[in-house]
Amino acid sequence: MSRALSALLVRDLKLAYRRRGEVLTPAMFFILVTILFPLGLSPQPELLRSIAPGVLWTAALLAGLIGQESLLVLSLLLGTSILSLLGAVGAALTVGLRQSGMLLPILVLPLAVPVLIFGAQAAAQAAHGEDPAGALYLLAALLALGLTLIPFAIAAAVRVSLES
Amino acid sequence: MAALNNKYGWAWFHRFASPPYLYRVAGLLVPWFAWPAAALIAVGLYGGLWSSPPDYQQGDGFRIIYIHVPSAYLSMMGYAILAVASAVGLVWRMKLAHAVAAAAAPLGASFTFLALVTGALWGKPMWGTFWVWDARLTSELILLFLYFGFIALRRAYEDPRSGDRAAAVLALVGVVNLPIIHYSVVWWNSLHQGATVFVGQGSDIAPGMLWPLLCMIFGFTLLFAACLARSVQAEVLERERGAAWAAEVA
Amino acid sequence: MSSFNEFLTMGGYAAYVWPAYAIAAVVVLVNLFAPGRRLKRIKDGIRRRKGAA
Repeated sequence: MSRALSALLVRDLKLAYRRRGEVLTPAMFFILVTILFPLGLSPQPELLRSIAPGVLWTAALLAGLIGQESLLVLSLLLGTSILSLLGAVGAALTVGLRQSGMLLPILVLPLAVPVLIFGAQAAAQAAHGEDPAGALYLLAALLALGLTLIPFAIAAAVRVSLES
Repeated sequence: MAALNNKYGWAWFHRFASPPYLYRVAGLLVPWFAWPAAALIAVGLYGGLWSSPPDYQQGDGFRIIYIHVPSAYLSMMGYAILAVASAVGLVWRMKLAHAVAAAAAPLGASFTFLALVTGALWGKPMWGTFWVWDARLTSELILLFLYFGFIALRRAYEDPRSGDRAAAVLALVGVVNLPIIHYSVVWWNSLHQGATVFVGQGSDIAPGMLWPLLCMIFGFTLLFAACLARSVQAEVLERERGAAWAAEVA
Repeated sequence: MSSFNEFLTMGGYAAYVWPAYAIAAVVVLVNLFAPGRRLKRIKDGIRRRKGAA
């Protein structure tokens, strides 16, 4: 019985090893998503404060803006625009691939992390009444950089995808 | 005019576009990098593990710095090489530049991994935790995933030339992460300490600790160069394995 | 460093310092030898094909 079990196990491990790219990709995807959550929330363990910016982030999307929330919405506008650009690059790079699987998120998520860091920082500062100018400027700088350079990257990526 | 251009112009650089030339030069450079690297690392290890005094706050635990700092530095230098090679390959269409990028990626990734692991081992006794989500540590972890993404994207393409170019585009988009890691320690008042060595301004670190650190940094850099050169040889030969010159050297 | 014993125990931090150096040694050795072996494999492949042709 256990011989059959171990034979099956060995066979499955061998198969997995032969396609280790496919096996590792989902794992990496989940690791990356796990990394994102502490970044989206404050690293401080205080419960109320740690969830408030995340909640505001979501709530502002649903509710609309009033006064102070405008800074939060500004950070969202800047951040989501950058994320769109990054998503476009990722899509352009993987559009020609037959078996891309979860490759697209794995490519885009690391690129999105600085945006997430600055965006969440701006949101947290706005929520606490601190001055979010620094983080917002950095977001704006990233957006400006992205708007000017990413179209070229997308063009190059599409060209490569079309050729292959 | 042509002679002048050859002497002072970019002709020396364009010679590297020839696969047998790059192969030969890389092969010649390996021992010139490797032996000085071994010497410097040996001296650095002696200094780091034996002769340098223990830190008054961290005791002998701080000696991880002699591995951690060179690895962190190389993790970023590796990506810089990756990015520059990718740019040269895309913009100047030098196919062999992609070979250099392909060679640099696993090397850089392994040193990023080493930086993270040694950092965690250093952090545990000092800060009480293996990991903390501050800007620099997180950025370094993201750097590791950028390396993985580069390698994965290159492999995902059936046509290696297209894979090279797609990965090159990705590398360039990701290069923004580098200054963020570098300056994150300045921008955020975080757990990770500030820069240890300031060029020109004098250092925070005691001289008895500084020279082994410099030995290790330079030694590791030369080691990286030696490994990169050998790896470039392998990349070039594999890409050109059907060529006549490849049959000669094999 | 005053004694060999202090060298081994790293003033109490041995559990952190020595694994760090050990992992570093592994990384360095792998990076040193893997490219050379890969090169040799490629050369063998070329020679085999040359012989077959």
